[in-house]
This record gives sequence, structure tokens and C-alpha cells, in this order.
Amino acid sequence: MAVQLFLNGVILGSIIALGAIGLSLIYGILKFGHFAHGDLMTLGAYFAFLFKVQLALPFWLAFILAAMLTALVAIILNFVLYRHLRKRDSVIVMISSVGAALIIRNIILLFWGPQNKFYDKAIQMPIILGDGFLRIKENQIVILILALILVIAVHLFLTRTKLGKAMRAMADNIDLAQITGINTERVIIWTWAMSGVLTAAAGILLAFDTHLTPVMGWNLLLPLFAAVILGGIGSPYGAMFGGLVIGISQEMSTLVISAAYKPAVAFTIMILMLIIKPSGLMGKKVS
Amino acid sequence: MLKINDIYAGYGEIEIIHGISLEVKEGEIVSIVGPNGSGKSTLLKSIFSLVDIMKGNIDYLGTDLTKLGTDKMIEQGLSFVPQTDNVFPTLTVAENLELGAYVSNKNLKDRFDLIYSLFPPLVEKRKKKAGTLSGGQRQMVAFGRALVMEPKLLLLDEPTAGLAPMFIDLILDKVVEINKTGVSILMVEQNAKKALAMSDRGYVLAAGEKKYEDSGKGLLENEEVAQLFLGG
Repeated sequence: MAVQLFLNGVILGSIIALGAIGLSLIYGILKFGHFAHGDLMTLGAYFAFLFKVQLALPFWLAFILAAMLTALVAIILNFVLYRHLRKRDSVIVMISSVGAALIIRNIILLFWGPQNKFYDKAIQMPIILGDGFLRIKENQIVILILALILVIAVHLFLTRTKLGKAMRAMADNIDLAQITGINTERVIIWTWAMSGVLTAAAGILLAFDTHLTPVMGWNLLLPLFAAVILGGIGSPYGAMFGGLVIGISQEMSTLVISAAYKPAVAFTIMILMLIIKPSGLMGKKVS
Repeated sequence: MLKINDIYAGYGEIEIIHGISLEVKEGEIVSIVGPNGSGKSTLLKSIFSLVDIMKGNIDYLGTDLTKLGTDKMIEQGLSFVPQTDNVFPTLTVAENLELGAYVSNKNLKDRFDLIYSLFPPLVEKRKKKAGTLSGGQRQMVAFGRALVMEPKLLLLDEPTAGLAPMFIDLILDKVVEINKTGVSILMVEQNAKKALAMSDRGYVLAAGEKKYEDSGKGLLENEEVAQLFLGG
């Protein structure tokens, strides 16, 4: 039972991790909590539904198109909304992102309605390992592999490319990045693009595991923020690790408490972290 | 090479620098000294457009810096080392230097070798995160990042602030060494006596205005300056 829950936790955790990487970088660079991140995730999942189910494209193509389209939406949000408010108090930008979240969710409701949707209606038979000891669906194996590939890709991007290093530098110290001659506006646009791709991937994988609903991303917003804070704001690696920890602890908690309290687990971890070590596990020290 | 003409600068509505002119000639070390709150750092930052400039202009090799973007300033051989938070703490030493060359990465390897020969302790720390280094070594990384683009004029904002005494002389010696390779230097420094002793010329600021300007030696020998600003 514990092993099964652990596996479920890893699956949920990798989905949270993908969403949290972008959220953390944006938080680190632009200094505001992006509350529309969850709904951007939902939008990515519905874009994939549009391409895969409504336009009957192959899954891989729908995945790529949806990710690109979500990145575009993120960039547009930056241009029409956040860029103008950036010079103001970060609370104002944060509230505006709550507004963006509501707009995105209602657009989804308008186009796709409130009913649950599925990428594939066929019932999936889980693969049973070790005499019923462990059950895993084929989809979940795909999720784990895709999440792993994406995390490795992000790692290579952040450590091997000039743009990736510039992103980390900006999350570290945006003033110094500017003095160094980094074109910060350009890097910000790329950060939104990357966050868009990753958050769409998280949404698609989540819907692939279960189903699509207009509130799926919003419901995951708290675990996303918990992962970011646990790992340290601005640290993409912290976000990956934080995502896994949150996912696993949420699932494992059902061993001892009712599953209804799952969301409270993320909240508890977040609060404890803020009390004990506000800079997070891998964040830079607050001087 | 650098001429600040009657500049007024500050933050938003608050004016801190009230009409200061200053010059750096090619090959010089020029120091700006003065008590805390005299506007030394603000003046230095105004060159890099890091504060709001209300009036005046800054001529650097024939171009007005107040109208130039940071990346262009760096391309034209200007570099700035801030006083605090002057490294990227979660990036490695090597990555910090690489980002110094963000604007152009021509002959990068040669330039890295130059930095490592100037600051040998950094060689074995190149894979370490800059945030884990000691204050002195962090300052070397900050200098290295600023020198990678082979600047013509290096701006230093209190390079020895917060350093252990043994590192203060080391860093100031490095400043002279860097200057000997043909880099002009304009620095703000709290150790006024040490700074003036190594400078070709110096400026004494107080309350956002220029009070004295002379050769480094001249200022050190000026009794009035000594009494008012150098602690007797």
C-alpha cells in the first residue's frame, strides 16, 4: 500500500514539479506570485484536447502545439498586463494575475463547457506488478517518462545555454544582470515562454492521468506554490524537488489521515517551511 | 575619456547630487571620497544610468551616456562593480565570468585565462557556487565579471567595503595592477587615505556637492581636507 501511494505521489509530484519550475522562475525574476499559473495549466490541457480530440491530431503533435500555444498566451499576458504593472507594487501585479486567472477559466468554460472531458474514453487496464502489490496504468508510465525528459531538457537548458544561465542569473540578482548587459526584457519574454511550455505540459499530463475540468489547474495552485516555497523562490531545482516532496507527501498522507485533507498537507508543509526556513531548501539566503 | 558635466541626479523626486562635474583622463586612477551620505555612490551610479538623472550630461569618448543602453555601454568598454550583491550567488564562478561576457563572447578563453591569472585563487573555485566563497574571493569574482569584456574604464563602488583588513590591501593592489594594464579607473572608496595615496586625482564630496578636487597627493597634503574628511 505504501509503495503504491509512493508511486502515485511521484506521478503527481512530477506534474507539480513541471508547473512549479516556471512559477518559481517568474517569482524569482519578476518578484510576484503568478496566480494565473494554474489556469494557464488548464488552458494547456484544453488546447491539447482541441488538437487531439476535436481536430483528431496525433497525441505528440497535439502536445507540442498546445505547449507552443500556451507559451504564446503567457507571452501575450506579459505584454498586455504584467509588463505595464511591473514598476508598481508587486501586490498589484499579483492581484492582476488573479484577474487573468478568472478570465482564462471563463474563456475555457465558454468554449468547452463545465463538463469533464477525456483525451481517451477507453478504460485503461492497469499493469499489475508483484501479485497486485503495485498497479500502474500505461498512461502513468508515459507521464513519468515525459516528465523525466522535460526535467532533463530544462536542466540542460539552464546549465548549458547562454539564455538559461541568464535566466538563473536574473532570478539571483536582476540589478546585477542588467549591469552585466543582459537584455532583461528579452530574457523575461523567454522565461514566460518556457513557463508556458512547462505548465501546459503539466496540465496535459494531469489530464492524461485523469480527466479535464475547468478547475483542474486552479485546484493545483496551492501545491504549486507550496513546491516553489519549499524549494526556495527563484530556484528551478528547488521547485522540481519541492514538487516531488509535495506530491509524495500528499499521497502518503492518506495512510494516516482522510484523503479529504490532502490539500491541507501542501499547505502545512508550506507554512512550516515559511516558519523554519523562509528562503527554502535551495533558495539563496536572504541577507 | 569621461566627462561628467554639471549633473543633477537622485531617486525619483529626491535629488542627491546637486550639480557635480568630474573628469577621468585615459590611464588615470581617480577616487571619489567623502563622508557617508555625501552622494559618492549615487554619482558613480549616475554614470551607468542606475539612478535618475534630472539635469546634465555625461560624455564618454564622444557619446552621451545618459542616452545609451547598458549593453551598448559595455560594448564601448565601460564596466561597473557594485558595492554589494555583486556576484550571482547560485551560479558557479565560471558561470559568473561567462555572464560577464554576455554581450560578446569573442576570444572568451583568452579573456578567462587573463582573469584567472589576475586572481589565481579563483582557478580551483571555478566550479563552486559564488555564494559559497569568502568575501575577498567574491570580490575577485565581481572584478573578474567586470573585466571579462576588457573594459577601458572600470567603475568601482567601494571595492573594499565589508572586507577583512588582509583583503583590503590585496584588492587595492589589484586595482593598481589592473590600471597598469591600461584600464582607467574611477572608484568610490571609504578608506579615503589609502584610495587617495594610489590615485592620480581625487574628488571630495559633501552633501551632494563637490568640495575639493586635486591630485591624490595634493588632497592628502591639504590640511583642511585632512581635518574635515580624513580624520585629522
